[in-house]
Amino acid sequence: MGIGKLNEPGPGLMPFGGGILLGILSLADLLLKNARGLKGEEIGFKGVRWSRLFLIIITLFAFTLLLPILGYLITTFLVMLFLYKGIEPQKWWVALSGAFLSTILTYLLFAVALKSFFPEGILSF
Amino acid sequence: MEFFENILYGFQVAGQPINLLYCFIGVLIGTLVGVLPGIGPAGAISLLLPVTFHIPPVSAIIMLAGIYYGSMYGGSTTSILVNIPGEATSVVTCLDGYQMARQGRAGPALGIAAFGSFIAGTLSVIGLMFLVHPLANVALRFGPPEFFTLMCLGLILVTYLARGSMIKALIMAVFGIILSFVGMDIFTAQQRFTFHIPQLMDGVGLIPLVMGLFGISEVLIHIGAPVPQEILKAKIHNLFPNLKDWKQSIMPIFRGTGLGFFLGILPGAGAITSPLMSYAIEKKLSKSPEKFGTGAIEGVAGPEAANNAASGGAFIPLLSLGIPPNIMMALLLGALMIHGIFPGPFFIKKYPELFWGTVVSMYIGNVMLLILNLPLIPLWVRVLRIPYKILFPLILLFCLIGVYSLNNSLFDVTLMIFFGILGYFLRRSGFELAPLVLAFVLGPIMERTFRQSLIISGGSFSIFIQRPIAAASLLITFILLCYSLIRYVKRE
Repeated sequence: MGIGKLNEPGPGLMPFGGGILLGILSLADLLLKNARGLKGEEIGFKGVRWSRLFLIIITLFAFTLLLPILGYLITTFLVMLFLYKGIEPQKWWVALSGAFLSTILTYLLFAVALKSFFPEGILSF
Repeated sequence: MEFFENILYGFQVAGQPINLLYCFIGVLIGTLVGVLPGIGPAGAISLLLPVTFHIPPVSAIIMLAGIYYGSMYGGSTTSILVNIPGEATSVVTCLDGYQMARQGRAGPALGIAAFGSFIAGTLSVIGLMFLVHPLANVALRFGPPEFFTLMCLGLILVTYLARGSMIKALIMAVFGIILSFVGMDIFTAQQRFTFHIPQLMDGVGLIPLVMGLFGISEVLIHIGAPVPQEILKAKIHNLFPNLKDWKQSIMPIFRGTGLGFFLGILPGAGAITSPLMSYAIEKKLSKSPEKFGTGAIEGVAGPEAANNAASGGAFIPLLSLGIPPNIMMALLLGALMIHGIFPGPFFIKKYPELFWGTVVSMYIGNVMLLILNLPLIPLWVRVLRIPYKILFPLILLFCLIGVYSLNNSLFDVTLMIFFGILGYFLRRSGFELAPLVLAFVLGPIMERTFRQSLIISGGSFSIFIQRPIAAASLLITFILLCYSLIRYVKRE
């Protein structure tokens, strides 16, 4: 990926320029921060409930892994049930009905009305 | 005469039952996300982008535009009733709106916000119709150097008006441009930054990017810091402002409309800055400025009109030049591009039904919003009571299915999750995401026009200063950069 000549710019010219600019700006930000101990607009990471964040991220990745195996209906129901019960625990009936309704309604909207294709999975539904 | 024929044509397009339905859905969702503090219009538009593939482009744009200006209406409801701005544009409305509500005048506050928004929204649509045509004619004289420099100016303005550090906003803009280079080069078809992953050959998708940055990261941020939910228990009655309220509000509404409309045209945060400026102007012009902050109705009417007018003005640079002035317009541009439509000087001539249909639908949408907002306020108050712990799984599910349904690709879903995590850390570290997405959308056009300019000039950068429009844009960009540098040195 060459940068070419000025009268015949190559595909690498803009990424090269952008990279240099990004380096300069990052350096400036770093120096300013060090010089003044600036906190800027950072919300920071104080008080972050990391376990919840990890659980959500793992659940999202689990969705991508389970979808081709279990199919849309089962995967979505399980993921939604976990989100309702595992992250901010709800009563069982709230979690179950929330997971069931959201699964069915999104299936009707996307698969039936908008004709999107979802994997059926090993159980074929 | 031609103008009225066009309007009539617009009514024919927007008045079709299917378009009326999508307009209604758009303004309803817009108001809903405006009310809910956990999700903004950018998040809602990105959530609904996949749905727009299945519907005609006119209906899609009518619906997405409805979400944008609908959210401006909805944002005021939470500001007045809960003292939490549903949108950044409604921050100022909290100052006097909430005080009015505490004094038992929530009804007139909500009423004047809705009427002010309606008047401003309607006037700004009229302004849009008059201004887009002449601007598109000027844009016909634009070549690659003019477009390139104008886009540079747009990006600098967006970063200049960023709420946090300008350097960080610039970093995000450059990062967005570099991200847009992923995929095949437009001139040589050479692969760039694809790491031999076939799914990246077409580049990073706009939808996984925005849904990750605005949908997933929003949930990750909120799950760490729950939104307080103290809702005014008082019964809301008498939504129609009385004659005295109208007398006090009508001029602030007109002033806010003019100010918001022109600030909305400028690239940057027009919708955010215009309510602040309107509030400052009204306070200055008022005979009793001490009333501001204690429940002055002018402090609600002016800013609410300003943010709605700005949303109308923002369509002008997008539809006439193809340059989105803010994040919402960048998403609309993305939606148009997905349908193979590129806004620019020829947009009105090439797609009259899209232009006039969308503009007239905004009239209709404003009427719908007025009808919708006043009687539905009790419903919005109920919606506010829905706890975030019920909402967040639904937002996540919509992100997952929305992205998957685009290309039936789990790679896109993984990409979205990655951008969600990235967005979370960027936001926590004080980086704004709007410049990133704006630059990502503009990146390919910037690269094309930059390389075309160099080819035309035989490799000479002087092409950017020899042509008057390009030179003027560059000069303003340079002045803005110098000014912010001087401001920084002075502050030190």
